Amino acid sequence: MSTNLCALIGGNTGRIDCDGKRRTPAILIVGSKEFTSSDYADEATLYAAIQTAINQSNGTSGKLFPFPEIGEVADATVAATSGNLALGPSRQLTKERPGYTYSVEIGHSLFQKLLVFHNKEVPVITLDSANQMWFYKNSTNGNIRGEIALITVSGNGFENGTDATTGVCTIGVSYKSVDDFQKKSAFWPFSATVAPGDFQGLKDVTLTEVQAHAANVYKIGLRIPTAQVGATLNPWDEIGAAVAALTFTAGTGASYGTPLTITSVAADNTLDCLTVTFDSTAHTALPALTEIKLIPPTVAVMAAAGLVGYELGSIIVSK
Amino acid sequence: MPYKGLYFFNAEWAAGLTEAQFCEHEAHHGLTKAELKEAYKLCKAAAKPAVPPLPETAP
Repeated sequence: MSTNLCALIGGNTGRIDCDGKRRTPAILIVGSKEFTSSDYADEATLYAAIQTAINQSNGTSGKLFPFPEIGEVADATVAATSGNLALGPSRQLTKERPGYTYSVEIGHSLFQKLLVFHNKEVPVITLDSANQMWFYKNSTNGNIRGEIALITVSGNGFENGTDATTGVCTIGVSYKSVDDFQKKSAFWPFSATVAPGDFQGLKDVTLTEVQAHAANVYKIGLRIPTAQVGATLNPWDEIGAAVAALTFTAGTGASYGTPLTITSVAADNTLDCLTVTFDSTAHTALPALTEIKLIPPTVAVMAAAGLVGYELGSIIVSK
Repeated sequence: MPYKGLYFFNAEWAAGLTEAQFCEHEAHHGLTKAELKEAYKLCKAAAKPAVPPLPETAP
């Protein structure tokens, strides 16, 4: 019969050869997607599941947002605190709080996009320099997702001309639970064929009326806004014809819930835009100035057609 | 229903029209009459079910 609990205070400490450990972060992927054991049955399946989650329309539950590749890492972990009685050993009073500051070199347009994540608590998946992707693992159901952290986005100001670290965008990541970070973390070791550049965010493409419509025929262009004054990009050459081949829908009325039939979508390579034709009878019946919402194909539909890297926004046109 | 890689017609909508109605409605694309007729025929074929529906059995 034992008179102490010493045998119950620990666990086995056998070393696992070739075990992974957190290396230098290379890229963050932010979002609520949770992967089941079926999703991580093998590398190809997990990779495809991640790409599917990236290629979803904004607002879709489980969409993932890849951040730009990291240029520099600073450890911003808040140190643990300790204390001791005068004659006693040092005891840890509070655990450290893991946190990191990442510097990324990006243009102003992307910086403005990242600002929506500022001061948001989000799940963060991290791919490190050893191609290990780090997750939180639910020990009950085995699902994996990002590790919850508070994100801050700042910087991208003027450079000082002497220090390369100035003028960069600074992304702060402070993990919410040190216990989750330490005890619930798990990693997937991707093979060398996978690289940070494989995980790219989407560009927002807005639809715009390029000229006044002629009765039920509307000319709709594609534009990518930028932070440069007067400069919007036109991705027509890259994606125009392929977009025209996909299904658009339209609606009017309350919440644009009344369908308006689109009879054809054509690629106009003179104006570099879509020619969208509505059913003339239905269009004529609409009161003047009726608002018509033109809804483009979703990101998932576009990705299924091989059109990746873009999300089209809807447009309200006026009869 | 794609036509010549640049025009994508709503086959279900087209199937409910006569050829003349379709050609008049889509005349603004700059296609010739012959091309519009060809597109209409393709839309009609695309909108047709691949297998005819089974006849209803008697009660």
